[in-house]
Amino acid sequence: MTEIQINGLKISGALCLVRLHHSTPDIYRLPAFCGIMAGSMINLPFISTDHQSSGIQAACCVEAKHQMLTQKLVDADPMMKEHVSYIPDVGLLTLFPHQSSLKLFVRSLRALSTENVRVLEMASSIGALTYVLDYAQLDAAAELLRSCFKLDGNHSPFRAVFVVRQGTQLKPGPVE
Amino acid sequence: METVAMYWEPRIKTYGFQVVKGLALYRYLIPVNQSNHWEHALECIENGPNRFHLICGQLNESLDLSLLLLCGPDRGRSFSRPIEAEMPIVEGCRRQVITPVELLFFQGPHFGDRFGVADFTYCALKDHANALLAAVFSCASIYLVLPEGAAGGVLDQLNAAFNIPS
Repeated sequence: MTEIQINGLKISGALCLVRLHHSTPDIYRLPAFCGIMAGSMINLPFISTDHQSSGIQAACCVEAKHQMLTQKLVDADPMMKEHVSYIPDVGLLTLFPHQSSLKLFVRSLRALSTENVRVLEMASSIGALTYVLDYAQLDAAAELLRSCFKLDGNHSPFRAVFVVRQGTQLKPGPVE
Repeated sequence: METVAMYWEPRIKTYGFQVVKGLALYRYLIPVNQSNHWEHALECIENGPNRFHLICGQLNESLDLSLLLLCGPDRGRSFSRPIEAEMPIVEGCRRQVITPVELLFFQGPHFGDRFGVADFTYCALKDHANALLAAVFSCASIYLVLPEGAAGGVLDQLNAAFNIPS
């Protein structure tokens, strides 16, 4: 098997997966949801959406500590409430760089599925490939990926210890 | 111990927009609980060379993987062939290809760490949001998949909204 080198693996804190699904292609609810979250200073570190004529499937993550507030805000909008479901206790496992390589993607997906790690969501970004997994399986999943790729030096999967947060009560945008 | 930095800007900064045209968007619905078929299909894919622009997927409650693959127009075949060959009789194993499509992507400082970036983007898109075929906000980057001819209008909207330092 060809060796594939990656530079690192990153593990997030505990998150809640929020899925929005509605059967019309009207996109209104997704921007509305993002607006509600921004209004309450809730970050969405992961969003993936698929828009088809039959409807829109969207998945977003919020920090676990924001789950209750998110549910409360969504429940306050009856039009939105019926289209939203929650999967608590998830986390992000990010490997980088993905090198735009399907081989790398498939190898990582195979490793996870072979060991029955439940992959709830996945998405690439410019340099990284991110999996949304059960939080309890994050460390084991990181070890699995570490064993099927070559990592630089003594790199270990790491958790962020440096956090950037929006530094004001204001949403981004022009000050009104 | 956690170190927290605060970050705010009145107009969100990006490092610039990139547009790629003439791509193909493959949509698959794959029953991954058919593990033998799935495993063999993945093995075939892994053994073939290929590259992607964007990949994203969702596993539903029926253990069907809804997978989106954005790549060059002729690049999806080495992914499609094993799936179709190894999982030909499994009901629900569907494939849809939309081509040509356009990709607009950009990144900015700490996009994945700050609240409000997705809201700001959707507000900037306005009615163009209805044209989206798919979107991914992950790490510090944002990917928008659009039908042919739509990227120009979206780019104008985003250029007007975001701050691009010269």
